[in-house]
Amino acid sequence: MIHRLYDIKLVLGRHRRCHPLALLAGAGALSLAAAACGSSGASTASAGPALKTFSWTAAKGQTINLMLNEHNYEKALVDQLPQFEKQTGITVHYEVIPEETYFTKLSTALSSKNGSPDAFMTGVYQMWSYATAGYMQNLSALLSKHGWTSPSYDLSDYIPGVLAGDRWDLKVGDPAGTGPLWALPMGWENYVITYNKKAFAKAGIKLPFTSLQNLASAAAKLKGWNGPGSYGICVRGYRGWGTIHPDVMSLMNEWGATDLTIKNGHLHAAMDSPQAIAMTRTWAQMVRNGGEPGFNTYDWPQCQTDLGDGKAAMIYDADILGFFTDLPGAYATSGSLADTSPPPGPNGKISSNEWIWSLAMNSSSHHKLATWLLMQWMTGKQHDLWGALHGLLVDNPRESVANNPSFIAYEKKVEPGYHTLFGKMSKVAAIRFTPEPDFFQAATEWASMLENIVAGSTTAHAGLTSLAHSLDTTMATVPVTGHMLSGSS
Amino acid sequence: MRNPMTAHPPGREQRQTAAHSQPVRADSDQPIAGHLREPVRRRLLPLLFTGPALIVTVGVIIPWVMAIYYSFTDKSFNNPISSFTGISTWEAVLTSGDFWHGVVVTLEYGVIATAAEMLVGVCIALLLQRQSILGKIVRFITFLPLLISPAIAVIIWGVLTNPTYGLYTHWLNNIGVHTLFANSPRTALLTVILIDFWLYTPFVVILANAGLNALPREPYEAVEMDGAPWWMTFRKLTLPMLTPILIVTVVFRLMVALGEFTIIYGLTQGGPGNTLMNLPNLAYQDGFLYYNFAEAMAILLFLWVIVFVLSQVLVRWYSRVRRQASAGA
Repeated sequence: MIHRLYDIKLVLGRHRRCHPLALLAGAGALSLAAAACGSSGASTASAGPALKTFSWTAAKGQTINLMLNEHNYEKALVDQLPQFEKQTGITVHYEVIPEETYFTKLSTALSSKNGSPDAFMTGVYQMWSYATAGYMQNLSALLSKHGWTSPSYDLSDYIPGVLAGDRWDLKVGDPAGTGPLWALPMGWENYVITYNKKAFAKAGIKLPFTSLQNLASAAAKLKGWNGPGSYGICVRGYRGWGTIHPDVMSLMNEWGATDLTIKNGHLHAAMDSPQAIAMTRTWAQMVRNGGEPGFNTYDWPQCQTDLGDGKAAMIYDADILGFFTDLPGAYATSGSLADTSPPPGPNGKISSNEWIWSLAMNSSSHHKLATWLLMQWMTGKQHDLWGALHGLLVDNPRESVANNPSFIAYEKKVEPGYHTLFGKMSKVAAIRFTPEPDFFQAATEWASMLENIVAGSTTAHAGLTSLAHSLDTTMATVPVTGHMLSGSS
Repeated sequence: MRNPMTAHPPGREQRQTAAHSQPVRADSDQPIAGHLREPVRRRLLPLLFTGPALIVTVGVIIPWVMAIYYSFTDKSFNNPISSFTGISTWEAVLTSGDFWHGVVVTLEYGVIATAAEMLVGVCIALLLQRQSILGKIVRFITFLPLLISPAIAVIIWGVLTNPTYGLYTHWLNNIGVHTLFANSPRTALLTVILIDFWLYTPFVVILANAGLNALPREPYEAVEMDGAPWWMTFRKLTLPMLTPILIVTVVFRLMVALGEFTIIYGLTQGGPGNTLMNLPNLAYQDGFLYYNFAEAMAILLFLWVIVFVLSQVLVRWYSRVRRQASAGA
């Protein structure tokens, strides 16, 4: 490159002051200045003054940006946007992004701290990173600001375990459900077994499942139930955090295991506990003997497709996934599916992790009032009921909507028994992970190790022990400032 | 004395001669000798031609230097205020087993994929030298993969090799070959290399074909008259003359193969386990999934060093071959 610059020097002729090394040095200095400027601290825009009274038109004329993940829950919101804009006079520009790339784009946008998007869909685990980094607006502060919140916005109407998922005091060592509110729930999911009724009847599988071993045996028995390529159970197995949070983390809780603990004031990986190893051993055996052959590349869309096309006899995944698959005309097996509770742990405990899609606000937003109005509107009772009846907001976070007779009738029409199971699982579902900002590294490496265990490259004991040791090294620098989890100082 | 305001500006030699013959006087109203003013447009012309290249060069240098800077900090998405940490990030990266595993996977993928594509690509190019209708059909089919973006190709191959319903899986099962393709640690690397091979061999064919078409005909006519066998013709004549273009092709392919991200990420995200975690995927994971930008920058800079060193070796080889060819001529 320097040789070419000397050629340029000849071309430039008399401009001897334009030395190529000077050009490089100038570019380097510019780069370092740019890098240093980029290292400045987070800047958050102020929320604005309190108002005398609440009014839906208080931010009339403003324009806000909204970033949404492609999901059935987002469709209800988008469908209602014209009504919101008409009522409030606020213009909303929105962008819908496929889930595979959504959080990468969202993280990049938030880190720019330029105020866009004003509002965005998020999950709980992302909230642990975003809120810790200062990218999310503390909603408790807005709830207490006079004149900002509609009098009819009823926080107590939320299913307690769901609303608690969006709270955290940002102290590693304290569980989810403590501290301020960071997002408003749009819809959620818990984890159950969705199965093909014909497959189970033909194989004589008895329900409910009595244990994980019972489930594993049923999965193995169902291999080939519908000809070549068909198999017993589909679970997520791709190399990512999403593999852990449906069935694996739910089972961990049922077996009395946890992901992390606090020891001597430090985070400590706990996936190598005897209970966790025993559960993982049985789970891996289930996948090997009765699971999908393409385990390593399967996420929920692949499991849904296999269930819908009659390849998988059952899936252990989100309850809403089974519901969407069973919608009339959606798939070849639609109308033949049903849900059952997951297998209990060794002491009979049934539990579930949960995932909550929520609306959150960018702390750098320059239109906080307008954004807050949008968030209230799109998570209020009226919109939630409309979404449940017309927009596939199936696992509704509001108790009034979940128990609405019209909604119950609609659920029964699609999948009898869904509502009853939903009510049962709502009582045992909660965020089972330990909140910490480095959640994704721990969960991704955990998923990677599970792939090795299922492939037979390592045993459950050796693999999880090695994983815990590796994560302990990574988490040694994470400061523990909370005190509610056992072992914290 | 020629009036410099009306006469055409002298050439360089004349200006130098003028400079020696006329001493400079500060109070003279004559132009300073040797520095006659050229039209502004003519002085700006070199800048106009080279400006875009300079802008691009600076545009490449800036993020590169920023990456070097960030690799000596603790820049993280979770920590908006980053600080200089010396070599601690580099130490963490270079002492990580996952990193060195990534180096091995990167080199394995790059070398095997490039070697296979060069071997088969050159063979196809040689076969396409035959002028026939079949040759034209084969040429058209060979170049089709170039029309498909790698991301789409990965989706297609993912479906074809799916162990449950994939067409290739079904065909192989029918002949008694049971393979899990990318779902097994034993066959995952071969699967992604196969996809790379399918995508990029046409590129090698194009360059090799162009090189073959550019070879002089006279030596071949002479050899034909002497009745030399085809393998001797290839070894003694074609290969030496084609070597420079082949080296250029290797440079292009190896550089891209070492930096391969799309195929591996699209198919398995680096799995099963860590089987396919090459350096680009490791950097993506650290930067965008773990939000650790500093480590991601360190990994990518190390990859840059590998690519730079290998490219320098190949470029020197190319220069040596060209010098030998010129000396022979």
